[in-house]
Amino acid sequence: MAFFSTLGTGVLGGSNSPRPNAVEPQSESFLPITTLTTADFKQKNGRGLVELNEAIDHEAQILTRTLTHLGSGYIFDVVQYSLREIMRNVFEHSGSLNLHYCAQYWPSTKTVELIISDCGMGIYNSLVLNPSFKNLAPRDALHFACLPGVSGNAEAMRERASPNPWRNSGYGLYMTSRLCRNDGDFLVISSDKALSLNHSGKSDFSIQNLRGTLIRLHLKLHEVETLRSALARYTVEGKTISEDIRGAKVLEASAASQMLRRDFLKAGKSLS
Amino acid sequence: MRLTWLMFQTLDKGPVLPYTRITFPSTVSLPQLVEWNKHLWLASNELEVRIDFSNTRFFTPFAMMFIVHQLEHYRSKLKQQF
Repeated sequence: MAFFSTLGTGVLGGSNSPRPNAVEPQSESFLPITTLTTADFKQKNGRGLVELNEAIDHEAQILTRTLTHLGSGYIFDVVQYSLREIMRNVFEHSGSLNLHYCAQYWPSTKTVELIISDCGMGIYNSLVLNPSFKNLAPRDALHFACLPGVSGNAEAMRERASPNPWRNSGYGLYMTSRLCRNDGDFLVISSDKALSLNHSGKSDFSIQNLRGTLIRLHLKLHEVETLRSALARYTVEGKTISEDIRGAKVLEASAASQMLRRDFLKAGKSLS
Repeated sequence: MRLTWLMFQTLDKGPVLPYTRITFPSTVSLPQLVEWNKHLWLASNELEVRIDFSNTRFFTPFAMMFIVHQLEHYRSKLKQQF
């Protein structure tokens, strides 16, 4: 997992040190702890928000292929989608210019653990920027953030008729946590609070002195339906749920939050 | 506070000054990570903290990311290089 190289090579015990946290030879399905910055994306192909999102989508595709050794299919789709949505969330809401990620894939059990962290303002501070949620307590903010139609960016959410497929609809954490809750679990730690969600319910606890946000997605990828049909179902469910949330926008998920990479490619071809 | 981390049994061979030692078990659960974080926070009043990573070979990606995230936090907070 390249743990110690992340901390800095100077801390190791010498040139004859064994490789700590080295992944076993038979299992190279991992992404080491890595930092990505918005500058990395801009250097590749983007200048504005739309371009940044497209660059993130492309990066998520490359990372998913590296992690899973797959180029298509349910597992590929779920991992690529989840990576993209969480990375988009960091750059849209945290105020941080960089994020850290790492992941591991266990093919025999079709399990993926994906972790993304940032040192930004945290979910609570982001959500209370929306006047509808300004009175939320930090603990409640985490619960709200995982509900559909909830976002700290009130202005962006007013763009109901925006043709921008990347518009903010407040569905990013909801969709990814929903995917995890099928058989795995979803953990978010932010602003000294933590929330864990799985198929049987949720639990929360406090943690001392944690900066920014840390999200773990534990996905059990037993294919029971296509990702496209699952996302469509969650969108309908989400719209119904958001009707009961005070302050939430009763919107459908943005196109991006419902679409896979190949859907964008198809849409691009049909327009050209 | 000075923070040091090492992975071998050389941890106690440094200068003989009082220090707090933090050691991980061979596997670590979320509650244990929370405790570790609390321990590190409490130890921040100590002159020196030495963290023993010799057991972390089979830690989950989450455990490692959590540790890195918090150590980076302390590093920037203390403005010290490890």
